[in-house]
Amino acid sequence: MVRPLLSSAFRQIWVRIAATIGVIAAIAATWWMKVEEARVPDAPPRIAFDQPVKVGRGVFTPRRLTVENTAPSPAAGAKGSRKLVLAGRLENVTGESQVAVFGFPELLPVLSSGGRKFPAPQVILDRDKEPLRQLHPRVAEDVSIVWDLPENWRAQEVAIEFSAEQFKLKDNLYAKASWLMPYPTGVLTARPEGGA
Amino acid sequence: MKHLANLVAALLGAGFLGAMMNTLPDYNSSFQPFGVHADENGVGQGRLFKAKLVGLRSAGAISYAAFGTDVVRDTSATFLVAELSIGAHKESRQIEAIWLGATGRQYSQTIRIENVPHTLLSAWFQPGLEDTALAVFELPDDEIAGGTLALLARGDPILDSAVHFAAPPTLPEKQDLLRLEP
Amino acid sequence: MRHVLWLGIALALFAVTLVVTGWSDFRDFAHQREWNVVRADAAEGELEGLRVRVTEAQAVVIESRPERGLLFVRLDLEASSETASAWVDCRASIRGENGEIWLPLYDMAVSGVVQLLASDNKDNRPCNLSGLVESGRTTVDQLYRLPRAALDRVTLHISGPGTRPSALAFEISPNVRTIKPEQ
Repeated sequence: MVRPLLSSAFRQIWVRIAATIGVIAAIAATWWMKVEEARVPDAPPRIAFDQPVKVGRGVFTPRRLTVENTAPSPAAGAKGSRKLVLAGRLENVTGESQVAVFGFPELLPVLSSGGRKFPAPQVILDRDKEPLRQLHPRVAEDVSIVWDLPENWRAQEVAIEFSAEQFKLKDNLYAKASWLMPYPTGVLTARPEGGA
Repeated sequence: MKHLANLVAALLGAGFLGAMMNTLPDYNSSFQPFGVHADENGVGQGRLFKAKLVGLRSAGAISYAAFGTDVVRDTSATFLVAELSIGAHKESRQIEAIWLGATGRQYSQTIRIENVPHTLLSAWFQPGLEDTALAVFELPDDEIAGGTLALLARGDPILDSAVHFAAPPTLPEKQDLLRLEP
Repeated sequence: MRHVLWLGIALALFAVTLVVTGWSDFRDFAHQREWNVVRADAAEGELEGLRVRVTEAQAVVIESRPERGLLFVRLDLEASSETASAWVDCRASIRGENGEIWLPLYDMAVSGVVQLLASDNKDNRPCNLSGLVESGRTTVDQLYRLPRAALDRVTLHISGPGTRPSALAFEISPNVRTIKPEQ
């Protein structure tokens, strides 16, 4: 009579111990994931001129940042206003011609200065002096990224944030190759040349 | 003993599932158009169209007249112009051209050269009529030799055919400036 | 016996799944094809509330290229705006004897050719129903490019995503002129 009772109590204890170990393991795993997350710095790295940075589906090497009185192309921005021009070289690093070098939806560099954000820039293909509409792999091109500057803006240090898309060979929906999940890749802080 | 048998069964099942998952062709390879090769005369029969590669020309710059003004486009790479003769089979169609480079990269037609007469970017092909069209690519030099031209009907290529033309063994000599006339 | 029952249920569920998933594909397919053709007796016909009248059909062959022709078709459409929105859009295609489908041309040169061929030298743009929403009447102009040999016996099909697989068909015998290219 005593024996079966004992063995059943014993089994119950085992079940509880197993459950407790499971719960503790789950808590430990989530805690460690949080720790890992915190170990990765949030702020994107600072980049300098002539240092390549990932943008959208390509790589951009900034060369010069200038304030210009005339746009590099008649198609760029509003007429008459001063422009902030970031010139550099852009290369498509994917395996196919891209009409969305800056990703889809487009992740154009974000300009901010003195706590103020600016509207999205336009990307001009220097070779044609026309908006960049397509970029082929291994055919790097000089481009100008052009922002309209408001009348009252005075030359000062600006920050330009770049972001890129991540390539997944097999996405979670169709297991097809996709560009997804934008993430910040770098910040360029500089004082533009030229302009009053 | 019974537990061991269950464990073996579970392990085998997991193994089979893993093998199936890893050998299943992925979306990228299963949802491709069927490749059809052009015959020795350079004529390819697609499901929706028939095409012939008439010739290839290459140049460092291209000039043409668009809406009455002359346009000159240059490149750091090479412009490859494919001259094609295309007819639709049953229904009016637009055709898309892709250059499959020697390194395996895919080059679409350059949209820097548009509004050219007979450009494949805007041409429509009609049943019963064969028309000539030009496809212009901007390619690094080493992508041309060993590359392939692929033509497919615009729209959804799944379960459709793509006509492949192998590049000729002797490539066209690169001109400095190529004039595209209407 | 029980196994057979389960197998039967599985088969039945499989069939139901096929029908349920296949039905929407079939509907998509039917919205692209025209197999229920309503033939108009004369130059005027009606399909699902939209009255269509073929007012002009002119074809030209350019002397230097005698194997091909251009066909111009003008249509008068009449319907209420509710009918127009039920049609969603409009497609006017030319069908050949062997089932070929010629779609209207849209490129930049079309407007000039249409103005040349139309009796009033005007181009009203290819089939669209936006005019019906405003006034209940509209005129549309189509231009097709097809082989000369096909010009003698062509059928005009008019349909919309809301009517397909039904389409309205007109037998067309255009008046073919041969012209010399402009110098």
